[in-house]
Amino acid sequence: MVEFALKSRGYTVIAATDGQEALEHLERGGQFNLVILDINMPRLDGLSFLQTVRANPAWMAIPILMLTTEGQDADKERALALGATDYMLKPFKPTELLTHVSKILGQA
Amino acid sequence: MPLALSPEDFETCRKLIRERSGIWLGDSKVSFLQIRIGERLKARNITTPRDYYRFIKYDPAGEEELQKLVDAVTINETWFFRELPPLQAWCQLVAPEILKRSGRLRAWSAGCSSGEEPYTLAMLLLASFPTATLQMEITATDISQRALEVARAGIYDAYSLRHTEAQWLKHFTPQTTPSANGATPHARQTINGEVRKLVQFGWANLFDTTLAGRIGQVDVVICRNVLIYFDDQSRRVVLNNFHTALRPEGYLILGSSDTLAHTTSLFDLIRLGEAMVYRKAI
Repeated sequence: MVEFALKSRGYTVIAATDGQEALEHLERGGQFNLVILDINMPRLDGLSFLQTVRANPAWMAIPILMLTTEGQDADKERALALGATDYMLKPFKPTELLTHVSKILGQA
Repeated sequence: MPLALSPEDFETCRKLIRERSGIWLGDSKVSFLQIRIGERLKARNITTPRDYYRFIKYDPAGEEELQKLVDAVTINETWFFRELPPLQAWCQLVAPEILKRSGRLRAWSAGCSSGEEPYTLAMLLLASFPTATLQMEITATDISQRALEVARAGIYDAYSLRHTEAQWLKHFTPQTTPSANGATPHARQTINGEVRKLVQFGWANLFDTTLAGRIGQVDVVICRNVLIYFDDQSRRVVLNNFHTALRPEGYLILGSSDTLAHTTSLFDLIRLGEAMVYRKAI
């Protein structure tokens, strides 16, 4: 849904199946205006990904939007403490996601 | 493109925030601060971070704007009945003895955000000591004016009550009029007067070295998931305030993500029922 909503608005989206794959995209020098991240991911979870990315000066300023579900309240707080730019609680409507993304990208 | 904060701008702005609040935004918070400052620039119709800094420093409305910036970077993530075991343990194992010994009891909810935590404590105390309402007082403080406005209004949506069991709903009254944002009637609940009476809200900067004197003596300090936003230096100031405000053998209840390890010897970590809490060191 995330990929579809963003593409329908004209964004270029690179989808990764887990945190490790997302990290590999960054390591290969990919330039991203925004990373949208689920906390629950196989191999490398969202919080570990966040920690790794924020420890690298080259990636420190990349906006990261965390997606969390109800019951992960403490994780959400931890994500913000680790340097997430913002978070969204699932489930959400595509329009809510697009509004959030526009705000982070300074387009709102 | 989002507003770009240069390393110098980031440094200047995070220092401003720290001077005002003690909150330290680490290097990983560049994008977090970028978005919040971008919003404030838009609200003030200011173009560059440098002009924004000058506005805060030299404009008559600068002080007010700095408070808005602090509001924007504070994280008001809380809910009713959050991390309950330490509060329950204190209410059941410590509070009765205090009431018996001194006839009154006073708690400080430090960093109370939008009020869910002090109101939760008030409900627990009312359940344990229903006839002692005049002997119990909760002072609740926060750095965010925005959060305090919500706390004082005492109106909450279903999200804040997501962990509230049915037995506690008697302390809430459903809202009968639609809210400004169009939420349906009854989706929001107002906290009742008997709970409200136990809690006094006030603005306070935990980083202020004179704060403890103004708060006065308390039996317990509850400060949960707040210390993680301070650096070591600020944390020491905050903990000194707690130590000064606490009566001898007073308790400090922190959040699950907080630790005092290596920061201070002012408190001892002890087991209270099933919970781990800190007690003022003698």
